[in-house]
Amino acid sequence: MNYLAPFGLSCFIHLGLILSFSNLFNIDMESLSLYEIDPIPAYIIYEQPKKIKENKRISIPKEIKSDLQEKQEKIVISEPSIALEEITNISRTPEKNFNRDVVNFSQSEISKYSSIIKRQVMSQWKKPSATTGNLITEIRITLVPTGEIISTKIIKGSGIKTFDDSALTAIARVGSFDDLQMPSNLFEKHFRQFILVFNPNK
Amino acid sequence: MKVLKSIFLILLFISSQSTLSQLRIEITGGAEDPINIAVVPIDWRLEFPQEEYLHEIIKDDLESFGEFKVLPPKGMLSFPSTEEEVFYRDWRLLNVDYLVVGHANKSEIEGELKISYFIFDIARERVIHKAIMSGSIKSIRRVAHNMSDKIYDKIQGIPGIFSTRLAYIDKPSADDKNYNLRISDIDGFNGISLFSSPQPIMSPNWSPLGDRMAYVSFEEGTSRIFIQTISTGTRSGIKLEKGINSSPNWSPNGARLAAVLSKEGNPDIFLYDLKRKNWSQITEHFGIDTEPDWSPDGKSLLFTSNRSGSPQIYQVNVRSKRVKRLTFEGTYNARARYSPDGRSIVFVHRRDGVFHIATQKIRSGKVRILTDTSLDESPTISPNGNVVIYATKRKDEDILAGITIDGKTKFILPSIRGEVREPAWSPILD
Repeated sequence: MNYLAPFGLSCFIHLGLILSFSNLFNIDMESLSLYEIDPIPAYIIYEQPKKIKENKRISIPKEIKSDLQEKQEKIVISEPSIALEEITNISRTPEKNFNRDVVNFSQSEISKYSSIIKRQVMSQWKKPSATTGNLITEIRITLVPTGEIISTKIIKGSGIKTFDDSALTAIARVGSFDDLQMPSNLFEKHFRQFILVFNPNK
Repeated sequence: MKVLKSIFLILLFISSQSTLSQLRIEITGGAEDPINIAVVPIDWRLEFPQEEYLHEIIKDDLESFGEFKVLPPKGMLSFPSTEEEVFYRDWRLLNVDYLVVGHANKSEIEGELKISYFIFDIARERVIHKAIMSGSIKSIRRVAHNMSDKIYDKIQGIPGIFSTRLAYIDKPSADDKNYNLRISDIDGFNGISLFSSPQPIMSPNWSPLGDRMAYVSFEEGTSRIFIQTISTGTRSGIKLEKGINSSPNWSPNGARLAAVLSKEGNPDIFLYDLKRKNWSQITEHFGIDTEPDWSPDGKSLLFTSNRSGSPQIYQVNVRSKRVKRLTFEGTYNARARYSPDGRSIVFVHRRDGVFHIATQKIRSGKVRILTDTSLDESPTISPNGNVVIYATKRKDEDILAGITIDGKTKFILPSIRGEVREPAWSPILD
């Protein structure tokens, strides 16, 4: 029974370590850094929390809205009568864009680089004929910032060896991803290690 | 201990969370281009020259369904014949996905040869298969087809079909006044006549082991089902019933034949027990039931029936005899065959007055038309489920044509000449 207290303590410490490793606290080390160069405008500090929530909840409708606004802007060129609206739009857009930069910055960037990766893998994958049934293979990829693949590991096999092999062959044929120049924090957070799901049934 | 357990569970949960939160990118499709493969001429280490080049037969095999593109020897930078002689860089430069090299030696057995061969994955720089293939020097085509099958299997993950055979009927022509039941390789070579008769022959069907053939012959003036052993040629008619005796179809375990009899007045599906030599009735309906085909699991049969007014495909459970209609699109669906996985059927479907070969998923009922020719009939599916061969017409001539199940590659069998009908694909032969 004497061991229980130190064991509990060690568990607590390890739990803390594991939580921080798994990014549970979402601490952005760069924002805490003393070497931060860009000063953060003061008014954003007040506004940001609300905007974050709004953006997360209705991010899609806003996108659509902005699309509409773009269309409106195009119409404006032929119809000067809506010029007043246009001015209000302009006054609103910079603020909106800025928000998206801060909050949705990575979401759009992630999908951009994801589709770059997807395109390159798909162009190299020669699906074997044995793809009847629901074959799915998940492979964990580790990259270095140049885009070079340094390790691949099957984390969920399909059960059909030739299918798994064809996925590994496709990755080997890619070798190194092109056009993956991105900010290093984005790379570290999402692209140093990610999972490729080979699922031809979709 | 409960505390420990809960802590452990929390840890487990967190570690699983962290993998779940990893970015997942879905790869939903691949490149459409064929697989590039190089087959280096096999190093022939026998004292006499080879009559037919192995690598050329393999090339023709692999290219026949459009899945592979084979690099010709004149485009190669080197001609390795062993594992040590392969430099991956050379082949990567040539944009090759897979490489086959090998050498042929005399076997200890008289009249046989041994081919040691290797299949390489160039991108991953590794041997994916190495083996020794032995066979008769006289039947070098057979050896090459066997090698093609192995290559296909190792790369595509399903058995190759290059050493399977095709049975078909050819009708009387100017040269030959007889009907012939013939068997040949699927590339049309090595054809033999199994049986010929001045009276019609119909509905050839392979036994599950590929050693025997069942068919209908009119040689006795009436339709009768015969079974013939391929290697010996011995044949015998099975128990004759009054009226039509037609469309024999072997059960997957080889013990029974499904067939059509009209002894009760109109055609129904019956089963013939080959051991007990007796018939038992499966369907009983005043409509015409015909063209049975066994499901791969041996539990049910497909058949064509006009019981709803137009020919449609039905499925009957052999044990419960419960009948279920499968096709609902169009007013003509007939001559259905199960795919080897039992999940879909291939059949003749009429759309806008034209007969096509179509395929349908049994569960979803989704119909997909495969062929764009007209008057297509008697589809037969390859034992790996990838290709359909069928009879069709070209300039009033009966020919055999084929199409891959994805509809991408079409071909005709030009080496099988004459008025040919009713192709039947053999099972995979050992």
